[in-house]
Parts: sequence; structure tokens; C-alpha cells
Amino acid sequence: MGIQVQSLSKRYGRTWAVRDLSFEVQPGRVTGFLGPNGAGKSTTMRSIVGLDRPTTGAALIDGAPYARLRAPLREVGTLLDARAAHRSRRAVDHLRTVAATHGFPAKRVDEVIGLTGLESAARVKAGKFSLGMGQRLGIAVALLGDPHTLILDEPVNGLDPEGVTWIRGLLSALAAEGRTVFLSSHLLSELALVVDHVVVIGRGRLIADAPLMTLTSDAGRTLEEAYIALTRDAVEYRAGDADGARS
Amino acid sequence: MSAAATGAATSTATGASSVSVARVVRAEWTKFRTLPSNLITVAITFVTIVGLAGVLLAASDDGGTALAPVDLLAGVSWAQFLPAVLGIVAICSEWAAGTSRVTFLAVPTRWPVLAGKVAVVGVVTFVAGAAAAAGALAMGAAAGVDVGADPALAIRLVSGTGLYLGTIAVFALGVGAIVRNLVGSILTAVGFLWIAPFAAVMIPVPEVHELAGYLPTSAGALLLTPDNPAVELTPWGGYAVLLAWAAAALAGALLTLRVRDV
Ligand SMILES: Nc1ncnc2c1ncn2[C@@H]1O[C@H](COP(=O)(O)OP(=O)(O)OP(=O)(O)O)[C@@H](O)[C@H]1O
Ligand SMILES: [Mg+2]
Repeated sequence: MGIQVQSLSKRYGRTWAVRDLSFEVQPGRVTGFLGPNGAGKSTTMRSIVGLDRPTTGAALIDGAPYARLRAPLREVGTLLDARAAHRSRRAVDHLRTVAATHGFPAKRVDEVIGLTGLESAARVKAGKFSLGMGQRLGIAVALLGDPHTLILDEPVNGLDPEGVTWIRGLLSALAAEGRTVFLSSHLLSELALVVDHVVVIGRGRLIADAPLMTLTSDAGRTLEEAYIALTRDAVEYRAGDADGARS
Repeated sequence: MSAAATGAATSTATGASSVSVARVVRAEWTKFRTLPSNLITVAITFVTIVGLAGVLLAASDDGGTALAPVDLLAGVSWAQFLPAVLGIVAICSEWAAGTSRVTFLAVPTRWPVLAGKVAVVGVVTFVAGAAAAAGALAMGAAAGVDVGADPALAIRLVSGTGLYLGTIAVFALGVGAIVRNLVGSILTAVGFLWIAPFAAVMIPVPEVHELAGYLPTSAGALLLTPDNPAVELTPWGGYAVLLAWAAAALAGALLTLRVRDV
């Protein structure tokens, strides 16, 4: 059970964003998804939830392809973009449109608004939201169906310190309840506080799939050091290459 | 799953729910009515048709007795751009506003979303068009236009305005789902609905003129004109041609939704 990615490949035009990628995300723990910019993390997540059609390979969630789920939001909560609501629509209406597809009661919309701390912003148009408020709204959408699996693409991005602490606690609690939690992030020191397991990819291929402990304390280094060592050859976009050439 | 972390007794809150076409229609209706611009577009459509009838009645010296009922619907050809925009915005705003992923995460089979938008946009534009036509004819009747002389024609004009505008909106919605880009979709729809009929007239070939009669707006507009034996298509035959265009656009839209990444 959990998420199974099986020989997944995705090509856009002539670029392979993901190439023959296989790994599993187990329930009951928080799994971090790491990799340099353009490594294929978002592409992998979009393929898992059926928004992108894989070129080859497949992904299963608790044994079924996402498109086969009869009540997808009750099984899987997904956050992909911080700005995913119409600018002219109020946050509460955005949530209502999503809730209506599954027939969730109005009470549930109020609950996730409370959970994400958006009470005072619920009747504000989403176009007026800051990055962090948009992120909270996205998390509210992901939690709407009380799902068993959470797939979150850079959920910490833009959250204030209080929000970061809150989401860390939330993710740990969800995993402790036996749910599958899969999140990508570039904030490694934050991530090290919450993940149990790490999947690292580079240039669309798997680099590492290991418990956090194996990568860090057992090897006597921080997650950041481990990550840099692992992805040294897979970084595509590196700042200051000109400086590097001079020194 | 009972859930301390995600808020109280959530298992009862979401327990028996699953996706159905009826629920997706309701979701699309919620989307439609929570965007103020949609409501304004519908209102302008109505006001344009009724308003132009009012202008015509006021401008005619004899108080309108010289006007035929069809003359009162002159505003339809002005207003018809608005339902098309409504249809295009309903689908293209999903990508322009960034809501497409949330939408298709909730409905991964995708086609019910298109069905829901067709239902909402089609019904709203039908009702707005029919109500506006009824308003225009009622105003005319009050001013002395002999609307009651041919009750069958009056009924065809009222229902026909609704069907004509509703079907144009659905055709445009299909175009929008294929093209996705808002501006590109509007240009494509304008090309089919308005530029092509004008351009065809410029080509001095009789066969081209005859074929041009089968363009969506040229054929569909027959529903809003009196029977004319000189035209090959009957009013309802003309509407059937418009309907076929809408069906073709929707078929293309379904295929696009199915194969393309969101
Ligand atoms: N819709 C698309 N069309 C074309 N190319 C795409 C598309 N989406 C992603 N790509 C390409 O696929 C590769 C992987 O991109 P992806 O967004 O999955 O990386 P990522 O690991 O999420 O990066 P980041 O850390 O910057 O978010 C990149 O080369 C990107 O340019
Ligand atoms: Mg990404």
C-alpha cells in the first residue's frame, strides 16, 4: 500500500522530465522528496495523481491508479500550486466548488478553514491573498476529504514561522495516524525535522531512497551535506559558474 | 479514517460522499455564480436584446405597428458574442486562473467537468435568451406590434433565441476546451461565428455562398427568421446544422481533455 511509482517516464517534447523512475512511499511515515530544480519532482507528483499522462510506466495509490478512484479527494489530498484559486472568487467559494464535486457538507468547508487558520480571510477574494495565505488555502483543499494519502509539492513555501511549525506538527500527526505523507521541499533543515524517509532524484532518475537516519546520523552528517554529496553530478542549474571557472 | 489531526469527527463529515455527474454539475454551478463577471455578462445579454427592441419601438413613428415580430429581435445578432464569451471563459479560466489542477484532481475522469460546464452555460444562456426574447416581444405587443397573429412563430422566436444563444455558447465552450488559451479561443470562435460568413460573401463563387449557409451562425439564425422557401434549410433544419457544429466541437473537446495533460 502507500504510493507505488513503477518505471515511470515522462517526456515533454524532446526533454525527458522523468526517466524510468521506481520507488515506494510507505504509509505511517513522512517521506521527503528531494532533488535539484528541474529534477522532475513536480512532474512525478502530477503523474501520480493523473494530471500528467506518463509516457511509460504507472503509479498506484493504495493499489489503484488515481483516475480509478471513485472519491479521489477522500483518498488523496494534493497540493501542487500555491496559487490555485480564481483571483475573483472568495476563498470559501473556492472550497465550496471543490466540496460540491464530492457532496461534502458545508460543515467540512468551515472545518478546514478553521484548521488552516483562514477564518478571517475566508470571505476575501483569492487574488488578494499573500503567498502564504494561498498556500494555506491549498492545504485546506488537500485536507477537505480527510484523505489517507497526502501529496504536497513544496507546502512550506511562503508560510510564516508559525505556519511552518504548524504544518510540521500536522504532517507528523497524520503519519502517526497511519497515513501516507509525501512532500517535496528544498528547505532541508526544515525537512530534516519532520521526515522519516527520503527519496532523492536528479535529472529524472532515482539517486537515493533511504531512511533519514541512514543518510544523516549514521553517516555523521546533516541532511544538507548528504544531499549535496548525493546530487553533485545531477545539478543542472548552478549559480556563479563563471566565478567557479576563475578560481 | 478517524482523524484527530485533520479536525474532529471528519469520518462522518466526508464518509459516504463520492463523485457523481450531478454533483459535478452543482460544483460547476457554484463556480459560475461565484464569479461576478459571469452574472454581469448574462445581464448585458438580456439588456442588449430587450433594450434594442425598446429603441426600435421608440424610433418608429407609428408606435411600432409597422414592425414585424422578428424585427424586435435585432439585438440577438449584437448580443450573440456574449454567450460565446461566457462559454469560452467557463473553460479557459480554469487554465488562466490556475484552477484546472484542483478541478481535475477532484474529477479525474475529466469528462463530467465538461458536461457540467455545458449544462450550466447552456441552461443559463438559454434562459437569458428566451427571457430576453419574450421581453422584447411583450414590449412590442404592448406597443401595437401584431405578435399574436402567428402564435407558432412567436413561440419559435422565444424558444429559438434561447436555443440559438445557448448552442452558440456550447459551441464556443467546445472550442475553448480544444484551444485552451483564452485569446486564441476567442479568435477561433470569432473566426467561425462571424468572420467566416462575411468572408464567404466576398468570394464570387455560388458554391461557396451555398456552403456558407451551413456555417454555424448563418444556419442557426434561420430559427429567428420567417419561413423562406428560397433558402434550402428550414428554420429547424438550420438549427440542426448549428447543433451539429456544437456537437463536433464537444467531441473535439472530449478527445482533447482525454489525451492532453492538464
Ligand atoms: N508542462 C511542461 N512542459 C514542458 N516541459 C516541462 C513541463 N513541466 C516540466 N517540464 C520540464 O521537466 C523538467 C522537470 O520539471 P519539474 O517541474 O518536474 O522539476 P522539479 O523537480 O519540480 O523542479 P523545482 O524544484 O524547480 O520545482 C524540467 O526540465 C522542466 O523544464
Ligand atoms: Mg517543482
